[in-house]
Amino acid sequence: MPNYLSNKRPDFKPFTMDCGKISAYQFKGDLASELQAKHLTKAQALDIYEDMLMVREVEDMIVRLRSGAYEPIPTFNYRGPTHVSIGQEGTAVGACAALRLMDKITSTHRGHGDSMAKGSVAIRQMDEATLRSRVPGSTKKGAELLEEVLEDHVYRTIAELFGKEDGYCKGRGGGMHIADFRIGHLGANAIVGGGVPIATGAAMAMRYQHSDGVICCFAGDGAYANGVVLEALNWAAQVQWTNHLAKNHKFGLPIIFLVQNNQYGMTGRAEDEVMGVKNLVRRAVGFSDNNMHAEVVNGMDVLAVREAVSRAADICRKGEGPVLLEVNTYRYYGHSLGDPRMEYRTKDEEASWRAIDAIETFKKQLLDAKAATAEEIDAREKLVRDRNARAAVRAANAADPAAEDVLKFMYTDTKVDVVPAEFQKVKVIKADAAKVKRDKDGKINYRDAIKEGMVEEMMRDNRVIVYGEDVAEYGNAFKLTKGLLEQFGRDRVFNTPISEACICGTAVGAAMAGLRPIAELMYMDFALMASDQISNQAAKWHYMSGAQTKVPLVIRASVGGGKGYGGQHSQTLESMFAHIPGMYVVYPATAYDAKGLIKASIRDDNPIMFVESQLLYSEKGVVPEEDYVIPIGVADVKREGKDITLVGWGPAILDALKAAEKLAAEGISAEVVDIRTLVPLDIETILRSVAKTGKCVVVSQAVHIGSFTGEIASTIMEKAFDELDAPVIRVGAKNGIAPQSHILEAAFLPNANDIIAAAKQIL
Amino acid sequence: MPSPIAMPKPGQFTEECTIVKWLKKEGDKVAKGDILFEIETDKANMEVESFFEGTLLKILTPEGGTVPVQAVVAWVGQPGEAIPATPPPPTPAAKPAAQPEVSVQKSAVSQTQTADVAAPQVVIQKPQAVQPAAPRKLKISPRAKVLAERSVINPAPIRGTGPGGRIVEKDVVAYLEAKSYAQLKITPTAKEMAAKEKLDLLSIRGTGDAGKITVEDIKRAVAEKPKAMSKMRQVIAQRLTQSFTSTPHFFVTVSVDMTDLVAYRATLKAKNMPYSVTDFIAMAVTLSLKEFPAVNSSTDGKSVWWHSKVNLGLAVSLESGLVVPVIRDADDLTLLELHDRSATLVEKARNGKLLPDEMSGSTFTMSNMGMMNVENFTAIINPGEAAILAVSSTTKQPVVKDDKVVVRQIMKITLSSDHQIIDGAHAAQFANAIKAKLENVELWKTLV
Repeated sequence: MPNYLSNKRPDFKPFTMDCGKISAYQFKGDLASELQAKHLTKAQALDIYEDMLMVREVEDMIVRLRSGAYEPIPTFNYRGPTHVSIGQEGTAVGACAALRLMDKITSTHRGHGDSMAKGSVAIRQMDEATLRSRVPGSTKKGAELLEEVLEDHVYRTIAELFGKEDGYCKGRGGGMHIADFRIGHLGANAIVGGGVPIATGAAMAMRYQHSDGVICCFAGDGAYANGVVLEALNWAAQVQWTNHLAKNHKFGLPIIFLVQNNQYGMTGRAEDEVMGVKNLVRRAVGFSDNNMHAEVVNGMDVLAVREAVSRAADICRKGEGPVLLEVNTYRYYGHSLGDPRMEYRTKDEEASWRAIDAIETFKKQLLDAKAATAEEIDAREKLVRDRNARAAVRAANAADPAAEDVLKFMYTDTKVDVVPAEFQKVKVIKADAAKVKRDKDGKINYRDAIKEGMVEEMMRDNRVIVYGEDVAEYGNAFKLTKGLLEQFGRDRVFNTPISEACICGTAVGAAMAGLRPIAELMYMDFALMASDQISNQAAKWHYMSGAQTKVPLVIRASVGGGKGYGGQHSQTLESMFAHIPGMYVVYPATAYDAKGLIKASIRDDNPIMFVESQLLYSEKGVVPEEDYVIPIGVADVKREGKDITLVGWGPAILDALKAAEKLAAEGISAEVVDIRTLVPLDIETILRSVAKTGKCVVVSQAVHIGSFTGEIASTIMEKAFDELDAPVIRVGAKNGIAPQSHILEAAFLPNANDIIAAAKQIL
Repeated sequence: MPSPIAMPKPGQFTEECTIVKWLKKEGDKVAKGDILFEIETDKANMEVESFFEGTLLKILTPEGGTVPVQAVVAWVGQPGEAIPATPPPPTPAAKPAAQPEVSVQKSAVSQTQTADVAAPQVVIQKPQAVQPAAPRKLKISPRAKVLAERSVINPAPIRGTGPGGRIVEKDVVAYLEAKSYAQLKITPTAKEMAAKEKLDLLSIRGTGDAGKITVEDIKRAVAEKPKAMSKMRQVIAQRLTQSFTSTPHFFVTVSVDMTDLVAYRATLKAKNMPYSVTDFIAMAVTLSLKEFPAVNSSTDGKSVWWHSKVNLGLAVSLESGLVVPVIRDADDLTLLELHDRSATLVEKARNGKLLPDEMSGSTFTMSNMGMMNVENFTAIINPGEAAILAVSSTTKQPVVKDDKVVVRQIMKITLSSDHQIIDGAHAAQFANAIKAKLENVELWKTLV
């Protein structure tokens, strides 16, 4: 397969650009006309009304709880956020009413409405078996069963708000992180904009899986000034999904970016304060030549939203996504109930929006269109209120999570031991294109060992995909992924924009949606660009969702220290990620370990920060051609000794081995322990070695301050104090910034002599 | 700025004190005069009051903790105030604690000072006198320590070769080798016992087969194991040794015929009058001291000074040692007052409730072993005093009176005198003055 070669020639012919037209508020229908056009039935219309009421009832309850006007049970104390979306029900319910059962959404910290609407709409679409699976043990049927499941939905929502074990996320997430992965709700996100790359990654997975689903990505106006959101718009709109590069899989990402413009990012006003455009819909123009089919929608009109999202979903299902909709609506309350609102807006303004309240407007339309009688409407209102009241009392009485379970759901212990048959089928474009050649001693280098591990796993499991900057034709900046594109094609190996946050964030969404992505960061320094997506998203979702979802992804990040690239390309940052519970952190030191650990990482169901060192890329070792994995969390004694333990990871292990060699010449027998993974840490192997030698130097290439070496040293002190014959000494880089100068960098980084000097301090 | 609460210096010779109990806890409000904590000194337990008002912010020395006197043990201030990381620096010109204390303490001036320093509420803004540090902690690595413990040896004699002279594992190994530890034979039970008792196996001679150390050997070693003396005992030892080795003692004994006084006392007792024989002796001593001021004096070897008042020390034997409560201004007291003061002080002494100023400032001491069935004994002069009177048991003895052998109640008293300032004749006169008073019942009839 000839690779794609650019053919960009100079072309400076004058021209003027036509950015196209974007329409706003074009929906002219009302309930009567929609019924007549058979866009919905009277029953569906009443359901829409019920769902809007359901959302408002729950959020009203939060307001009443916080103001002391309501106690589900005596002395009940509600602790938690109060970001209510009252006023926005038309947007949430209108959008979700246009979605199918297994279509997906992501939502925001103001996401009660999105979450409840997605749930109730999906529930109404469920067959009886699916309904029953949500209320195991129920003997009810038909309408009664449906009602029971709807009440369960309200109950689990409120229970989550109350932090109860029965909540959707088992009380681990709360209202700002509520999720129901069974119906494609991939989570509300309390980082503004944080959910947008996740939705984009899920859309990428749906494209890859040839699913006919779409994802509706709810995010507020405030998010549309956030870097990762703009990265995600660009990501979703990449032409490689639809142009000649996609060959016979030209399919745009099936994602609807639904801008819930409630006019305020907390208190900052999009329109006349913190942004430069009158209509946020203009964002679409900047990212796609087709303007992402963008339009502006009246978010106070539930039918207008429903109609727009239906059309957007159709576009997406045809492979012509993404779509961006700016849906204008209004938040009646403040950012939270502690916000009196009066610093930044008037009562007149609020009154003008309340006058077109989506629920009241729709109720009038129900009556006018004779879709329901006043009695039927009253009955629905009573149904919703009674159901909510019962659910709230039950939730208040429900069991709290057990305190000893505070760490339950931090990690999963599952991994892919057997690949399900449906994922074993792998399309190979060019066999062995990425094959690694061994030298006469059967050795390959560290870089190729990682590639060989990835190739084997990609051959084993078609859910494994590889992407990052320049990983396709170019074979990555270090030629590590050379041949992968040729072997597996662009669906599984592709270049990305230089958007590190989105590289990591989309991997989270893709993993949630069923893939096992390997996302590459060219330099570990760039992980800081993506630190929200790595630390707040990848690491946290298994726990925050109460183990509803796994996030099986590998972020490969290479460390550039030692080649004179200066402060922004040389950092050893794994200690930072070891400090974020929820991630595993792996750092192999040898070619053999690199292959075994990358394979184990790909198979593991936890998110993994897989750190590589460019200094080690050319280090050779004997690496078996056959399949083997090295279990994560098992240290390796790289050299046995009895006088002193040198423990560490990464390139420092090579220095430690050199040091051990030199010490041996002086009759000192040093044991070298390579921890191989920082998290989980195999402290037992370290302690065993220290018990033997009584002396320990902890080494790494990381700067001294805050290094994980300190964690190891203090753990040895705590657990093996009586074994110590001397204080534990740490060796790392100086507490400074990696300099470009060769002389300075040599002084900056630790080396074998530093390790020997440290050892001699205590020998 | 919070105020430091210092460990008081309850006695001239006190170097460190132990906090027995805190009566306030961190966060408690503290008013001036509130009792903060209770300490155990070398002499007794006492309560320490606060000089400050505020909140007890931080306790630095927990219950059971021993610190040098004048060290900061707590901070009182306003809630939220930052506590200085280190206590205020000590005043450099502090008096070295180990200075021989015999010389000056008994002068009027020095008594005032003593009273000040010994006040229980001493809360010193700028702690003085950095006390000599406790014996340096043995520098030994945890691993070497464990090996020594496992080997049941005392690591103190081992020379450390680690950084800063720290004893490290290899030093212990070398030491064990040098001492042929491997050849040492011991029964498992014996070793277990030895470990529990923290004995040093290398110092135990085995009496079993081929020198094997047996349980019996361990039991013997345990019995012989040095045990720390109580603080009180240590002070007694120090003071008496100093007195006995630096003061030239000589002894004068006289026999006192107590027959008449004993009979007289019996009649008083029948009238419910409480006087004890000790009261009479104390009074006789006090009266005699007024006649012989040289015996009620102090010297530093270069000068001698007489005390105008009699502060009479009464040695009281306790289980834990010896205390000397002081009857201040005994020469101003009637016999009844003397009796009352003496009874109160002895009672307090037995209960460990003596305050420091009730145990200091004596100018002359008497030690009464009358109840102990002793023929005669000599006492060691309380440092800073010129003499001490040892009172023995009163026993019936045949004596010659008016050329007839008769049975009389005889009590021997022995005066130990500091020959630096008292000569034999003077001592004899003083002893006989006491004797004359005790034998003169008519005198007592005027005093009762």
